[in-house]
Amino acid sequence: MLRREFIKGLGGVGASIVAPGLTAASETTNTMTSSELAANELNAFRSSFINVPEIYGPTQVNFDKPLPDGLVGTLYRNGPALFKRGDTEYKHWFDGDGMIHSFFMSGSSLTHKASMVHTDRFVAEQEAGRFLWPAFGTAFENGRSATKADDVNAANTSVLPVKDELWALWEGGSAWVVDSESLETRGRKVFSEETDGLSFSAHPKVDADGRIWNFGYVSGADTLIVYDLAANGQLNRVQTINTPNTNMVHDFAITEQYLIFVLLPITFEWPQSDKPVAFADMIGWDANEPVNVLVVNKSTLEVEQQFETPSFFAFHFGNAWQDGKQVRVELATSDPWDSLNEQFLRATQGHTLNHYTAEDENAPGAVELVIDMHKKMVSIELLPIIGGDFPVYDSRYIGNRTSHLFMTNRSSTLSADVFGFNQIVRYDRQSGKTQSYDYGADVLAEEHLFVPQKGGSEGEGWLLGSSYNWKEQMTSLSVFNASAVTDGPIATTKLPYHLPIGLHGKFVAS
Amino acid sequence: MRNSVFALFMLVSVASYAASNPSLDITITGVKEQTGSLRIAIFNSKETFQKEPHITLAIPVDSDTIEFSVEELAVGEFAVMLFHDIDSNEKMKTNLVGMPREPWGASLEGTTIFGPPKWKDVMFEHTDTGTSLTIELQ
Repeated sequence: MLRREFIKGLGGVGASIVAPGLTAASETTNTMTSSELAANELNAFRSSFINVPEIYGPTQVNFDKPLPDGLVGTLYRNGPALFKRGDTEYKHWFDGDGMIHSFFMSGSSLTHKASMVHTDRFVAEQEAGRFLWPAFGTAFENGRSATKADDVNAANTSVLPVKDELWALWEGGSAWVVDSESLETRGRKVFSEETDGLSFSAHPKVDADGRIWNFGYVSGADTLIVYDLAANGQLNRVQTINTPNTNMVHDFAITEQYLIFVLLPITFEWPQSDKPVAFADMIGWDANEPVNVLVVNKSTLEVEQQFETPSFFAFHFGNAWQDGKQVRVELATSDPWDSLNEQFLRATQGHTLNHYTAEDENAPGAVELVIDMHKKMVSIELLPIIGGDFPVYDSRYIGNRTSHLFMTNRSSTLSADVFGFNQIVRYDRQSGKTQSYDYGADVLAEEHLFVPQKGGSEGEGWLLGSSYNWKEQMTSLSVFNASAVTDGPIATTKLPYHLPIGLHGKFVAS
Repeated sequence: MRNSVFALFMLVSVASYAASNPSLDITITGVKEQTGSLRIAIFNSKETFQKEPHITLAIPVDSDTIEFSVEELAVGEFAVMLFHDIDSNEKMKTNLVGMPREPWGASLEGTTIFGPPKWKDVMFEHTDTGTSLTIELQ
């Protein structure tokens, strides 16, 4: 639906979404057995959250073929993992408490382990035997007040390796520090008194020299927060920027000189009634309002230019770079927030999904914002990847031109009743060609990260990602040659269990 | 969570009223450090809430539970907001965007809130039989 609005914005032809609505027969209960879940496409995604322990491993398994010599290190991933405590249950993917996974790989061997992030919230709710605080998309009767963001911090979105630490990242509040070896939680990250408890996004960007840039936001207060951190995690500078559309901001991009923000028309209203509310109940989508594009100067942390574009929704950025007077920004657009959020709620609860029409399926996915700093205008160019998300690139070249963009996507083999992705796509800007690999109808692919080959040119390396076979309820880890995605995995290993479908990760080479 | 929410905790003096008013008895629990003072603001309308306190008080903190009574209030609608001024600088410590960094409390009376307290969350009716409130520091 956002795609429809987006096409309109570009002067294209509209499409419609078919919303069959909930049917009683499709709704599930908590008492479903694993086999019942597996038999049901509507539960393909949801079934990954059933029977998840608080600790996994360490579990050693072997790849079917030896890994390339240059690929030794640890993939760390984070994602919502705990969805039920006592009689309380989460309804939204983004609600679940964060679990940090470590996948150490060397030779033919993979060792996996995982542990929940022990936030203050997690510990208190563990003790109470139920969820107490409102989450992103679920609120509870007889719960507790959320008077600061960290009361409801799930630490469930991504990780940032800093020295021997991992920072478990959410976006509304503080990072949580986890020991990168033991995965034990060390405590909440406080950079300084003035940043104590502030929003710190799950998508920090690490410059080629190691410097860490990040942002936070304050819903309902038109306030963006910009962080400049040293490579060791020390705070260099923090700055607030007063700007519209700071109600929910997920990602940003950096170039050599700039920080690029794409601020979406998400509305926000504090609760008016005494009914328990979740964050998602306070936000909405206003398709009639423009997207606000900010170009912030890295030196001054001041807004250098500001633009408006027609409404569209995007969670994630690819790379961005300066090209003469232009700034080019890769973005993965998706459905508008209201319909996307509804799909998240339906998928997490095993309810009937909204189905897209053929026109929707052919609507733009990856795009490039072209900001002309001289003419002071912004335009949007379509990239030849339809749909898809989790864009990754060769991050050795962050902020500089890259020719290769990799994403996860849906192929036509995936049933319309199954939520998620099952395809890996590589786009080569120079040839204009795309390559893809289809995991098939039974497998949901998670974010696949690009790992550069030492000494290799831009885009040379491997794609590394986990995938969940919902029919077998087992999780695998696969490695692709990033230059030959179509050939399929060059090495795969299957874990003796399944993992909850997660969000983002980082690879640390040994 | 907003800049303005705790901005008016600059307390000055206690107004003096006739002694025939019903008593407002307040118990503060959850004190973590026995130092500094509690700085209390009592508001008497939605319009003046978080802007112009009707009464302000400062009470030294020497115990993990503090009890005191306010005898200066006639019957009516009121709300209590307070913070623990641990560093005795007479201001609530906040971060860059105004979120409290010192313990605070409000006359929530069991109301569950998401975000900063609003008048409807903290307002109570003070009647001629008097009122007892327990406020736990956050």
